[in-house]
Amino acid sequence: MSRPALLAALVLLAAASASAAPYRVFMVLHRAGAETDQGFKDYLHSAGLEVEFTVRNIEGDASRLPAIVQEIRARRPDLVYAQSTLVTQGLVGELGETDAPPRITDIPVVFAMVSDPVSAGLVERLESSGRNLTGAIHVASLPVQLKAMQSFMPLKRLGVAYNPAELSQRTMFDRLSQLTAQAGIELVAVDPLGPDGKPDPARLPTMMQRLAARRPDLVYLPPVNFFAPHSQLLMSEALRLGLPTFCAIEVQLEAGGMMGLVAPFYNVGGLAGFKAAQILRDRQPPSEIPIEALSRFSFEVNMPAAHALGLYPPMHILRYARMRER
Amino acid sequence: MSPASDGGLSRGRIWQVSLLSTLLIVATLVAASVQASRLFEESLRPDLRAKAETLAETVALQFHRAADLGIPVTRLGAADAYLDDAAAGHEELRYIGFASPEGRLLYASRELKTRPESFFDRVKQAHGQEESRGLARLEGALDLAHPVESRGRVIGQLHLGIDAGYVEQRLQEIHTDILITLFVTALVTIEVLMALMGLLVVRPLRLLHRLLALGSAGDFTRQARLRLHDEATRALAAAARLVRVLNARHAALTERAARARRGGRLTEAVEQALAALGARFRFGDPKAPAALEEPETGDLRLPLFIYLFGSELSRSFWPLYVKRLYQPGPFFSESFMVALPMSLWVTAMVLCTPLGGRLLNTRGSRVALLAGMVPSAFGLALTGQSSSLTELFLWRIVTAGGYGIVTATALLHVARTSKQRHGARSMGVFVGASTAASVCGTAIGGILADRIGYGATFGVAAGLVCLSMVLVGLLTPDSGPREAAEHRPVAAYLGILKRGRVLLFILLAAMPVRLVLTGFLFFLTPLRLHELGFSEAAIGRLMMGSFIATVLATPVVSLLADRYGWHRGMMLAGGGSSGLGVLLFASAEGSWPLLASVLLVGLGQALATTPLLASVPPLFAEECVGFGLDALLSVFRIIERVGSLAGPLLAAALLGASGFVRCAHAIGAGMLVLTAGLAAYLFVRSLPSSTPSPKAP
Repeated sequence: MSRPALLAALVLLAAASASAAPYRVFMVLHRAGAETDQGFKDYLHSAGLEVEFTVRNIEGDASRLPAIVQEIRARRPDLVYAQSTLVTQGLVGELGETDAPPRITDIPVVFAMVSDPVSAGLVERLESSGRNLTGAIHVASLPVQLKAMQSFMPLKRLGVAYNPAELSQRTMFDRLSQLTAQAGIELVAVDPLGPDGKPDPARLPTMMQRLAARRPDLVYLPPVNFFAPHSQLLMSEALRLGLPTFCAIEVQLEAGGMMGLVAPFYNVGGLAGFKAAQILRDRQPPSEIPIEALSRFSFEVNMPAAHALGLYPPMHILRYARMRER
Repeated sequence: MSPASDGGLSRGRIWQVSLLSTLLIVATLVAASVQASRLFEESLRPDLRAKAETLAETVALQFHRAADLGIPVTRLGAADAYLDDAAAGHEELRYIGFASPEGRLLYASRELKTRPESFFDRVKQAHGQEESRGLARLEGALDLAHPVESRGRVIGQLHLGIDAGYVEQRLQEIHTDILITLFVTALVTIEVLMALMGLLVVRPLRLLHRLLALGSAGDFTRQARLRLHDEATRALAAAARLVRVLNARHAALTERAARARRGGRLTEAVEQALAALGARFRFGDPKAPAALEEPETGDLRLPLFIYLFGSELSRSFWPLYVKRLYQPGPFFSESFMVALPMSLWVTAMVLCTPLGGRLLNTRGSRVALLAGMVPSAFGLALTGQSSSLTELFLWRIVTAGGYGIVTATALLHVARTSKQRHGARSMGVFVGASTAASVCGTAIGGILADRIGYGATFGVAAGLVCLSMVLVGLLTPDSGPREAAEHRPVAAYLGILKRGRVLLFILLAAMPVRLVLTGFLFFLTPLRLHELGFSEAAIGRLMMGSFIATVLATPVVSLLADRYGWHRGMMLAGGGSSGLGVLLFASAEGSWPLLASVLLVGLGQALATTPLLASVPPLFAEECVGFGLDALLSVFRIIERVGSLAGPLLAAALLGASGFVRCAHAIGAGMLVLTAGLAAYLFVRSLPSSTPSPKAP
């Protein structure tokens, strides 16, 4: 048997043995019940991959991550799924960190809900991470979101509620300040931090009242992990205070935000699943798979909120926006 | 009666018959056109209404949607901009407005907002006495009211203003197209009728006349070649049979006499009778008789006309067609690349010109013409299918090569068959056919391109060239091969070029006219008119004006030049007219000044070109004797075509460097300066001999 033929046979044999055992995927969730996770799993199934999932949920508590890292290093799964920015940072660490606790450096990690992996210090470039990491972005870029807001109404003063305790939120805020300054829009920012510098759920209503006092044309709600469990509260406060809101993610809209440019989480999970399949089945190194957002976001308007505020979408938005009528 | 005078008489008759038939055809067409345009007018208005209604339904969709979502109709955002968007791109639409059920104008497109508030009151009033359901007539507009409903309740009314002038404008364009088509039809009919009558009626009768005249003078040596079988030819055939029988009997008699002479049985009296017969009559060889026909100037007119018609179809849109295929590259500017194929055309044509002369000499006119027409047909068809500039250049060169062969053949044919006395008029056959073809081709080409696209128009052009091939094969008498006048054309050409006075004359008189024709009329004019917003059909119409001026002026110029010997004055007037035309065009923007300027250029072409060709033999009699007329004319054409070649390139260079207006100023002023130079040259030439041109009695 010639050498190339022998090699080919070996490769085939390896492929056959690989397909014989199911792939082992370790899923680390920030919170349970996100549609993203289901989209991720469903994609892998529909791609014909046999996968055995192990799921761990940190319930928003980052202190649980080191133990999970230990477990992953011990079990050595084929791939790790990270549900949020916090989880991804805990698993793979930020770029150029020194004196760090153990991280996962030799097992592919795919994230699904990181709004800005560059700001979060995870990668340098989206085209290729240069490390064992790739994934799907679930938020449209800030300039695109700002343009969407301006297409709805002319903006003079924009309010934003964010969590400066999160690094990615601080970079988001810097970028937004820059963009609004360029567009001649005054930016009014509020946060829920207590005197200890930590976010406090009890401060959320007053945070919204402080914002309302400044009478912004529109309030931008970025994808803040801390806000997620309190979305309902935030939105009902906004409505009560007569504040129109622009949401970056679907859950905020579902909680009653007035409008937003969002990607369905299920589809974001599907995109992450597609990248996982490229790694597992096609043997592509994660460092070379570009980090991407969905190519389409949909402009959605919550009509009940619009009616409550007496603020209606202009004619051109009626043409392409999705109207939620419940 | 000489054949020439006989021809003159018949020509007048053909004119009358052709004119009468043409008038009848045109009258019928006019009646049909009037009917067609009335039908068009009747269906255009309802079509516009139907279109406006469809648009109203589309615009209403978003109002429905808003209402279905529970958005109050008075609280819609950016609705004015939405109506602006909806109205954009519909040139027949003046405005769109949306009124509440109570009749208050809530939203309006830009145009409607600029009108006084009373306008909408008048709209409402007009709908009170509307002429048909939902349609009301106001000053300059028809207002269509379209109710918008949601869940069974009227939430408002859309108002669409249809421009009443739009219908008139479209109709005017259609009428112009019809007029042009009529004009071209008349021209083509006259051309075809004259050629067919000449070929089918006049020519056989003239040959019969000539055969009988020769017979009555005792000459039976010539025999007619018969290829058609109709009434006139049958008469000729009968006479020809008679001549053939006479020749055969004479041959038999001579044979018998020879046999008798060998047997010593031939009496003195018979010998004398035979000698008297030989002295009185001349007989031909019945097996190989001499031809009765002599090649005539008009032989090629019809196929030449059809051929040139096809070749000229792309005239009005050629630069635009090239521009469409242009891809920005690192080396050459757009205007250069658009001008390049025009210059390639002239180069290929010049290079193939000698081939036409050689083929005409060695193979006869039919082979020479077909050798040029076949590549032209292929070239035209493939030009229309080109997907890149490289392909386009290649097919343009092939087409031009064929064009060079055909025109050289035709021109030499004309030069050889023309009688010196009618020099300008014979050249007029060529110039007339080519300008008539330019008129028809440019105008119809523009309309065709507007309606069926560029590719299909090139297909039609190739079809016309194929038709001209059929005509050459079926109808045109072949001139047959003949001995070439000289065998070393290149040496002769060089010898002629060394004559400074010939070269100077060509540079001053022939080249500038060509330069204006190709650089200005063919290259700059379509580009400029397109830039000014004219459609292909409109560009074709305007350029046609120039060719019509040439066509109408050419016979008059020929006649005057031949009769009064005004060759030189005409050439100078032509140069001046061309120069002024270009200068006027540079600053004109409206249709009428533009038309006036291209008319001046067209007139200039007729004034300068017709006497120019005819004035070569008398001006350069010495060179004609030394090198032959063929060689002189060839050199003349070649150098003249250098002007055609340089025209587009020069214009492109000037256009790129200084913009359109300065470029046109430079060309116009240059033309005037060169004409002044020509005047000086002609004045100097006239000094020593100071012999006036011969005047007709």
